[in-house]
Amino acid sequence: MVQYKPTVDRVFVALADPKRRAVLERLGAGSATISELAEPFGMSLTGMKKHIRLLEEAQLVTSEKVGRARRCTLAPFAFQGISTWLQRLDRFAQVVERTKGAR
Amino acid sequence: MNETSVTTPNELEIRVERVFDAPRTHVFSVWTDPELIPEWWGDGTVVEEMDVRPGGTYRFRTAFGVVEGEFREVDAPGRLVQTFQNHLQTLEFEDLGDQTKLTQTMRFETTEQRDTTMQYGVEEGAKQGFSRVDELLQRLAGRAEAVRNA
Repeated sequence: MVQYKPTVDRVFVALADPKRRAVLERLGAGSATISELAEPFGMSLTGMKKHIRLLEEAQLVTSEKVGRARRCTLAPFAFQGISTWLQRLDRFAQVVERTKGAR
Repeated sequence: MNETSVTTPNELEIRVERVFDAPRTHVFSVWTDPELIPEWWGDGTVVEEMDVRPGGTYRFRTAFGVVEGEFREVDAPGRLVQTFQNHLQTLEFEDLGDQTKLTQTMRFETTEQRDTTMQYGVEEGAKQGFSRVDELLQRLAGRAEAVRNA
């Protein structure tokens, strides 16, 4: 559990800033490059890069270099830990139960 | 409901074991049937691809975002190896007669990734914090969906 606190801290640090929450909201609609993100917020590329770095450290966003641009994507399963998966298996079990006679 | 066991057999893996009260062919088909995927992945899930053979891919859109991966081994109804987001999953369906035991081994590239996945479910405080964040992300995904549909 030693590693746990820093991860949680980084998430809450990342979410504490309204601009970064707005960036997450924008990325919820699809991936975007740093410059596509910076422009509507009236920010410099350097400023946006810093925000993205914090979001990446919190594992909320991933980015990759595409040509000369860096494309950012919301990490949709950032919060899907093992407990979420176990809940999904419960639903899976319900479907198994409900459909087993039918097939 | 049957109990689920979660263990960490080594530094890179999480192992989930669970018994289902149904024959093996059926449990395997629920896992791989595109018509049934939305029933356990949740409302609004759309299966875009489900090509169950080695090298085939699967992809579905859920409330949380896109889930995708590639099938590496397909040996119905006993064994499936597939990539799943950032890790590799081996699913073994063991025939116990009227029941089936599923052993799901998730193998991550690093211990840190493994631990991150584990920890989200282990610490109570984190659960509460992250459930709020979860809600936020779901709202974001919902809005994005609304924008696309507008």
